[in-house]
Amino acid sequence: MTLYLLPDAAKTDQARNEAAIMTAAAPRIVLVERDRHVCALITLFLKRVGYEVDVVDTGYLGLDRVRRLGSAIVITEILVTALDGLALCRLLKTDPTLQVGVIVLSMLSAANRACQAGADAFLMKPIDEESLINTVNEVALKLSVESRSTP
Amino acid sequence: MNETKTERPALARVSAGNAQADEILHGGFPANSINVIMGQPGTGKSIFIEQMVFHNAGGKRPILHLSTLSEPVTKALRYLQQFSFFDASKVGTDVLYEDIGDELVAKGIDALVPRIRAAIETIAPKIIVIDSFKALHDLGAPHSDMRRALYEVTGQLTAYDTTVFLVGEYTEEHGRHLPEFAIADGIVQLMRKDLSTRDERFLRVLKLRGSGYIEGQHGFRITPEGIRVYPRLVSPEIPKGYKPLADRTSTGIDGLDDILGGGVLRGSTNLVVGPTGAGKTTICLQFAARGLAAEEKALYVNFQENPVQLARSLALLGVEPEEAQRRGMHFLYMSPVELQIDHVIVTMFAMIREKGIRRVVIDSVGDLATSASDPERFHDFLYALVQHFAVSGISTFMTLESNESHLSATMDGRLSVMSDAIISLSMVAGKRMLTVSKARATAHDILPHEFTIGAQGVQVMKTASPAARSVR
Repeated sequence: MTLYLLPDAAKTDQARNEAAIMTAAAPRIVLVERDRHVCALITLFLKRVGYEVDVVDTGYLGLDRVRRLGSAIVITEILVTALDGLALCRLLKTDPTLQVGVIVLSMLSAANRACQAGADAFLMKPIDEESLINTVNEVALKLSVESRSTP
Repeated sequence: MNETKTERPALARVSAGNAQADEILHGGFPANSINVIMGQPGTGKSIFIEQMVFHNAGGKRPILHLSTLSEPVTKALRYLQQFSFFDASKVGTDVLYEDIGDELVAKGIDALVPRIRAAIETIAPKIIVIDSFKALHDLGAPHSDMRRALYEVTGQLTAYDTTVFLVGEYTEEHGRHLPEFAIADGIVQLMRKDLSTRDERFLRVLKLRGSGYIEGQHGFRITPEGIRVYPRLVSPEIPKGYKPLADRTSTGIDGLDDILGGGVLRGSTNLVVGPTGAGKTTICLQFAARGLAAEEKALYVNFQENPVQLARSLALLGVEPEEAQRRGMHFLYMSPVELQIDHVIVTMFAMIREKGIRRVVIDSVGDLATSASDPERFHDFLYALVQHFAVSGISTFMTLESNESHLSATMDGRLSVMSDAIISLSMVAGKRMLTVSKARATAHDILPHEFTIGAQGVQVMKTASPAARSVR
């Protein structure tokens, strides 16, 4: 028996609308994460609001992917192998050839360390859909403002 | 490098839906945790869980309740409606019940993973209850499949912002080998102990990662409002700058203050021991009534005589019962048949706080002992109680019925250690005798004194009895 079930339609529509406004120049998302459940959820939540998501499982692969793209929003766990998330963040943020926003999403409580590494935002696991989408939208907006002001 | 290595965020909590359980859990279940709620049938698991569910229902995200192979949702709902926490208007919107029993029977354990994924993707539940999770082991899946499914489920649930409760008729033996116990962040056990005339229910936290909790067995009752827990009394932390009180307060018994070196120490626990009819209750009533003159409100906890009987005894001492009550003498009568020590203690402390009590009588401590299902538990309680009274400066008289002139039995011996003073009553050669056989930190008179019980209550002779002297 099922006694219910409707998704929170209003919220989802609002999120979709926000994303639609931005889709014209929506940056690609590079997700650096080893946990496949986290990957599946983030991909689902972000695709639902119009983002394309590439998933890689090491810091080096993330770096490589962003260098090829030139511009992206990176969502990275700190605990990834072959270049940890904070080192990846530092490398990306100090490379003048890249236009990149970095969100550190970790099971470690490390907001200060992420900030010191130059991250645009820090989120703590587990994944809260609403804060994830809001944060990605904010970083995307910041990135688009920066790209317009760059000569 | 000077960067902070560890940042410690405040742990968000999910309330258990009742204040006392939250107190035991140091604020509730940690948010995003996976918890096992275990207990044999009839221990109150479903009530505990549903009370939590309805307390937390509301807001943007719903609570999902998945029923597996235990009982149909409709049946569970019918009984839940008896409780005041149940709110029918929240069912179907804030609280979503789903029965996945048929699906599990048809597809086996593999049905669970996609079902949870679908729930996360479509309804974004902030709390997920799976009841009964233990029943999943009865699907007949090979152990390896069960492990794999559980690994998948916990992976999913850990990644997502939700708090999970796995409810099941687990025994402690299950806890040693079933995989859900290894992955659980919190384990709460509900128990029922069958005593000869009544049952006692207990709640115990076995594990709570990332949080402290009050250990041990906490008594609880099922009431129309849901579960009412009585957190186990633990010894108080001694406040900084705490100094044991050295001032004395009058017992109200003519002649006894002198023997005790000027009254009992404030905050002390004093045991009055003697056979039936020796005058224990009279002494205690006088002690309580004397509190009124000293502007110390009194609480008389009693298990044998009801308030009417006590009021009569008080009137015989020349104290008008209604006037005494108005001035701050309170009675707490609890039937010895229905006693559970946790309940007694919580009720007593609530009255002490509410009424500003400074003197307490427990008549008798033997009745209190029978309210505890085992002696160890009783002594833990009593020890903590005595410590609380000492720290808060509450002076106490406790009675103990005993025909022995010396406290020899194990319980009595330990009681003696906890007491600051022991006042023994006896009959010697047809005369009533009172002996202060112990008075901690007091230069006291250890000789037997004759006493009488008259219109003014107990009166103790100032000089030691020569007759009794030879008896000693």
